[in-house]
Amino acid sequence: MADQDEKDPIEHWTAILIAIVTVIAAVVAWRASVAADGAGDEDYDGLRAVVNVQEVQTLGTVEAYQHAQAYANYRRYSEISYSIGEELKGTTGAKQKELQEQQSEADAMVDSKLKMFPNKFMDRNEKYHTDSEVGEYVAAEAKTRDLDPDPHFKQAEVLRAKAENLLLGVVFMSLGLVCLTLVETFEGGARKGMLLLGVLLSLAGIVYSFLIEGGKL
Amino acid sequence: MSDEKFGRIIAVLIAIVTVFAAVIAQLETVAGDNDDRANRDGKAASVEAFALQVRGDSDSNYNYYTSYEQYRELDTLADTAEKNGNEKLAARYRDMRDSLVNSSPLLSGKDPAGKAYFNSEEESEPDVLRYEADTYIEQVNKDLQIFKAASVVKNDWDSKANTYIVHLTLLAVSLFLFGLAGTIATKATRGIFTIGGLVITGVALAWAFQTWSKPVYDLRAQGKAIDHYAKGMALSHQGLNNEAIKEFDAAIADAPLYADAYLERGRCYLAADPPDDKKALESFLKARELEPGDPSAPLEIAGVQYDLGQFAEAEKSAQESLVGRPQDVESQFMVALALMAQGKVEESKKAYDVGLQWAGENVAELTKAAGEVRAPGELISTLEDASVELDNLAQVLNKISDTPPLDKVAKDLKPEPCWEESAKLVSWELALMNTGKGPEGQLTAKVGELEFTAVDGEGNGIDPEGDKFSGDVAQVNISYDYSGMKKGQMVTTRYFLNSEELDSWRWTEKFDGEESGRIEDDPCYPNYSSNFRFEPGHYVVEVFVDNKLANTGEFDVAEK
Repeated sequence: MADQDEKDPIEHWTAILIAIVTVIAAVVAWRASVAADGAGDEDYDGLRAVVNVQEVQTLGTVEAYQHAQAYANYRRYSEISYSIGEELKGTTGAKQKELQEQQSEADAMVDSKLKMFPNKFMDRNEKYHTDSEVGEYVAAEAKTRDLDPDPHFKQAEVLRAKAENLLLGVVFMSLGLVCLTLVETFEGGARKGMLLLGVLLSLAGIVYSFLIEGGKL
Repeated sequence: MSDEKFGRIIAVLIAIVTVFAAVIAQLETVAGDNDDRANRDGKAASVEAFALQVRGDSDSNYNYYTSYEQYRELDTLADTAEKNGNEKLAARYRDMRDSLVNSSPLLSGKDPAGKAYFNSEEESEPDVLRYEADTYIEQVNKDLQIFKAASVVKNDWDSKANTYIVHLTLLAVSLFLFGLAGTIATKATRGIFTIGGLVITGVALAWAFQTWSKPVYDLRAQGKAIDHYAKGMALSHQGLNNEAIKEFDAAIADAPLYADAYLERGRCYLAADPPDDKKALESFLKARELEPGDPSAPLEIAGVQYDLGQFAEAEKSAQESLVGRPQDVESQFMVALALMAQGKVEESKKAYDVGLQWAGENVAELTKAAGEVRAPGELISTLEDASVELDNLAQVLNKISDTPPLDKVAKDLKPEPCWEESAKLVSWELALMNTGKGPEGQLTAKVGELEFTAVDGEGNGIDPEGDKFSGDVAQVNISYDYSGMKKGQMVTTRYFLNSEELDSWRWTEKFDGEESGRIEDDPCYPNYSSNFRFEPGHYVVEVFVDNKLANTGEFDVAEK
């Protein structure tokens, strides 16, 4: 065995190089697989966030409009009560009693409707702010649920690009391996040239893959 | 060739094929990633479109059916109070009405161009369609198109990725053959394996190159095509068809293969005033050419061909629609209508019967599942539209209407079979709605001539000129003699104003009178009030007994 190595050291080193490059290529392929898997997970998380945000906004909107509807009824009875009060000012006797009864009924309805919506979303101009209610609903849900898909989608793109680039590194290493394998089939200068080409391609693939994995590229 | 030299050649071949396999594997990975990306984008867009549609509908329903309804209610109360001479009360209602305006973006808001959705000084109704178009219709349509475009992209990349897998498999077979060739001693056999490997490698590489070089069409990347399309849809939602056509033109200019833009442009040409059937047909035909699998275009094509008098072509297009939408009642009725216009009366009747049978099966299935009568609104509407089309064909034969052109209609066709089939369709429509199955038995009751009397706003009778009532027509009442009626029979009365049914006037009740007698001064409208007035126009009244047409009558209300 020692005689053979001394007779042809290139063959010896080529075998060692093939083994090393193969192992590194396998490791890089594994890292690419992990990155691709991560991209899939981020896509899933992003889509879940899309569903969450749409669900929360839709439920919040529907609830806000239910409240706004109750508010509109409150406003109507409130206006009726106010208008009757205005009319009451100049009346006496039976008409006054009749209007007082009507106002009392309207006030009872105002009280009833007032309990049907959160009045903090009413402003001084007596406008009901559905947008604010939806905003608060969404903000409350955001504390417990993921409502931001964009970071997930961006990360998925980063990981997907990483996986593709790592596989490109594997392609370079494969080309290097092919050259190293072909060393045996050539003689003389071509043999050395093939060895050099194999080493260069393998090195390019390895360095490129390490840079990608390290986030330098 | 020496074994050693052959061995070297095989080694080189194996090395080269391995390199190609590595490159194709890389292409497969990229294709798979693009497939995943488009899939994700499509799913996100579809969820967003769906949710936005729900939110938009909620918003528009609240603003119209709560805010505006209350506004109108108070407005009507103010008018009534004013008519009754109570100015103070009227003013009170108006103040309340005006105070509601601020609570609704529909009543107080403005569009991006600064135009109010509701100008209470000049308009009685807010512009809900414009409000909807601005708040969600455009965006929903954009999201739906992104979803559709991303789905197409996903399919194409998926197909590419799968094809690359086939190429890799072929290269694996080549490697296997080269490997065998390297180990076999017989020259002829190893020659065959080598040539076989080379041929398969060549095929795989040529195929892979073809797959790689074929671009994936992405509508999202075609300028602003989707934006123009969405704007077009928002404009057509508002009935601004000419403006919408310009947007669809712009979408088509950016993306000449945009089938949906052609389809919607065709619909706008049809809905425009005046409609342009020929341009609509051109657009529909182009849409069908671009997306032959989409069943929407053939039925649209059939409708336009029918209007243009191309009845045989319309029949063929409707048949094509049935291939894409089996048992589609609307398509089947189009076949039947085209047959009728060609004078093939018996074939047409059979075609209508097939459609009615499908409709009956559909309702029976839903009714059975629900445990109560379930007649889907779109199916009922299809039956009604088909009946109107037949009435219209009869009007063409009587030279009252001109679409489709009379000179294209079969010379020997009479209006009677059109009326008969139309009545049958209406009979089915009512029976399906009321009983969940088709009409049964024969009509036994007799309803005499329908007589109409009218009253003005002061309660004074109005003398008609023929069938025409003039002046302030506040009430019209209907009277008729009848015989052969049984207690419990369903009596339905339908009203049409200028050929359009007045849906809210339709009235069905169980008969509870004597076998024969007279219905006296039955109100046409279910709820006359002091503010109600009859709109001018031509009114047609149909009386059905147990879902079968018993008699019809008509009257006119003149312009004031």
